[in-house]
Amino acid sequence: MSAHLNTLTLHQLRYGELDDAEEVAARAHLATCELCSERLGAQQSERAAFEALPVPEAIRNASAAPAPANNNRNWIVAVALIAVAAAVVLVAFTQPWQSAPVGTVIGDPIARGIDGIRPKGHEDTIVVQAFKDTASGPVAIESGGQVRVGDRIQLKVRRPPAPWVTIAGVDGSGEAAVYGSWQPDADDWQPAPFGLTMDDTPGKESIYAIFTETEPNRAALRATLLDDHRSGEAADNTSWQVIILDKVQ
Amino acid sequence: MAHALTATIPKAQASHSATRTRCLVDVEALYRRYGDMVLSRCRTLLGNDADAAEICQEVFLKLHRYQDSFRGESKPSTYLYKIATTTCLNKLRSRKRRPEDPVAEPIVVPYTDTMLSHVALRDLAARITDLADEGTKLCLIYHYVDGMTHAEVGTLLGITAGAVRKRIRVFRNSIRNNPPAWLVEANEL
Repeated sequence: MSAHLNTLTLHQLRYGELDDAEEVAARAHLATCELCSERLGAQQSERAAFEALPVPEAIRNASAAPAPANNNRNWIVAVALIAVAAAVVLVAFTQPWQSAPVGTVIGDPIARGIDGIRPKGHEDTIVVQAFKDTASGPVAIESGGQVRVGDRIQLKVRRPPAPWVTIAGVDGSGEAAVYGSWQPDADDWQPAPFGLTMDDTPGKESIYAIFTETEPNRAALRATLLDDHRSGEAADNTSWQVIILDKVQ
Repeated sequence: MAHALTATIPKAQASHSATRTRCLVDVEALYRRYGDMVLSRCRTLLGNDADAAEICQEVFLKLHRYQDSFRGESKPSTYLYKIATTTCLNKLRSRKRRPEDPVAEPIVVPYTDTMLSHVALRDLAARITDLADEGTKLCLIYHYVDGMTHAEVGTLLGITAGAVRKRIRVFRNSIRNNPPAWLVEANEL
């Protein structure tokens, strides 16, 4: 597959987005490759046709409107996957939460190469939020936010398209763990029946809430994570949402 | 634990922030610049103009919605390409059972170990809708449809080239051992 320029590279050449070395290499290839030259020509023809089309009204309207609350970006859906790292230790909280300022949360599906969103009709739904215990009470953690060794994380979930919720994760070393499953008994936000304490493995902690129609096989979930924590074996009617935290010492 | 379960975060605080941020991404400008790429991508994966136009719009509306993520991208085309690909896969999942879906057509290629190279890939995305997980589908599409190397796919997905290679190998083994109907039909032709 490497004999030719890939499709995205051809687009980026047209857009002037290749760096100097990449562009030189691409143009050198094009000078000798009839196929790729034809593909580039086809892209340029499509470009010309596209420019003759009107901009869709929905896009014009979006440009004129403020962005939605940015929490909406935080979700994904797919299948059976995962949870917080081996770097995270599952703990039962013994202290009730205190009232405290809480913001909003969550993960960054697009950054993970999967923009989410499996179950139809739930694309804009945030279904898991994370909060860090502090002296003044739980504080929401933004995706990409920092946590430290020993921090205790609580989760809240809102039952999405499936009745079973599993919390799992992958830590900075690539270790995966499945922490537990339960069935929320209502559609409103509910706390997870356990919390997580950050261990001393540094790096990104990806905390997943996985939603399934039936109680998932934990071993299968973990095996999938270990294979590639970016995606997992999907089962129909399963979805997940991820929160990615940056753990520092 | 029981105490923890009874503790609650005030709903108003736990729900989404009501604060709205000013739109910093000019979606229309991005559409004018990159719309042809996204539309072409959608046509390739979806196989018809109507769905492609619909999903193309959806991609840019997602960009509007998730613009905080977008602002961290060095190459807008890469970001949009990824969104377009995953959005198309979602679309294919939603329509996979429709009779007009071209996936039902047998594909005229020999069933060999190099089948995927031969399929090259008209309808590949649709044909693998039920046959692979999301990550594997992305690997297959970027590799076979777009002609990316394992390393290029890995870079795009944030995984190693070896992981890409493994995913593709496992998929190929799986369909060799349990060939889908369209492959069997093709083999009989």
